[in-house]
Amino acid sequence: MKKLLAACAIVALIFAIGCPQKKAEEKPKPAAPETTMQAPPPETGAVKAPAETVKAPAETAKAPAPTPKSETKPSGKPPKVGR
Amino acid sequence: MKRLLSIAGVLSLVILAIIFVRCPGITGGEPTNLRVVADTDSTVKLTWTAPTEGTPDKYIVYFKDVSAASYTMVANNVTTTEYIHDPNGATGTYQVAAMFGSEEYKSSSTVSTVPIATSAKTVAELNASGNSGYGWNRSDGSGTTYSMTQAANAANVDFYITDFQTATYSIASPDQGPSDPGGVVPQGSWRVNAIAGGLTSETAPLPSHNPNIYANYQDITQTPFLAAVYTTDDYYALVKLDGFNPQNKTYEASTWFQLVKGLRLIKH
Repeated sequence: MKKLLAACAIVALIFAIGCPQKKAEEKPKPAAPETTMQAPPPETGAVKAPAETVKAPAETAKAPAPTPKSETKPSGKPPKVGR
Repeated sequence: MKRLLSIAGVLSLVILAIIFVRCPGITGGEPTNLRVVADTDSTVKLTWTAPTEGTPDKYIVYFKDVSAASYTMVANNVTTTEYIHDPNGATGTYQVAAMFGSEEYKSSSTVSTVPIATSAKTVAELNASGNSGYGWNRSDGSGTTYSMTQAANAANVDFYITDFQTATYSIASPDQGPSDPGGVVPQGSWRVNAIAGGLTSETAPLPSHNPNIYANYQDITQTPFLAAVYTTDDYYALVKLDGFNPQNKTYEASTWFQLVKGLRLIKH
């Protein structure tokens, strides 16, 4: 009788421990709800090609002396260059 | 003694029966090492490693749109360890499952194409008080402001705000700094980025990198002003300039950085 009880106890233990591979079947936790965003607007692709507004620098070299290489700092926007 | 042996034999059979009944998927396992890269600038390529427990019958790919609450199946009969997905302009999170018969083993990790948002930070005009440079961390996508007066910051800046000593403001590539008439940016290895302006949507894919659209700077013609930045190391980001303060000459810059290199999807 004692042996029978011991056998039953072992069987119950196996049930309690279960199969280790079963753990891999656990479904992933449901992700936390994310902040809802507005429905995506249709892709407009409306990026206007940048207007080329390259302005030629005004020629202001009016000094009487022939000094074409001015040392003044550049001013104004640089040429817009596509890249 | 015979009785003892018979009990042990019966017990062994019971144990074996329990194991086989309770563990039908004993050879199954989950995919690991899930990764995402850009396939094109608007499609993504997922790769993963097969389960160590064996070769599954097939894989299932799940996608959760950034604006959705749950995953949806986008492929249910993948037999290789990669998959190319066209999300039609959306960003989101991916998960892959291995199927062994009817047993499903989902990957414990996920990958994402959702851009990293950085809330509004104040950026000042080059000659005003405050930092006028702004750049993104390539590891976590976060944005930070930087001073443009220190060459040591050259490796971190992706754009700056300037008026080029004119009446209008611009968002400019950092490499314009040393020649900027503001005259405060030292020489250095400033990034040669490209900027597109005049975007009309915060969530639509950014324009493909193209010299007809991207340039060394863009004038800020309105607020809010949406600009796309394409970095010299092949990342895309969206910049939203708002909250102009004419006294302090500052804007509030909110940004979204796409951590997947070469991917121009920015829905958030």
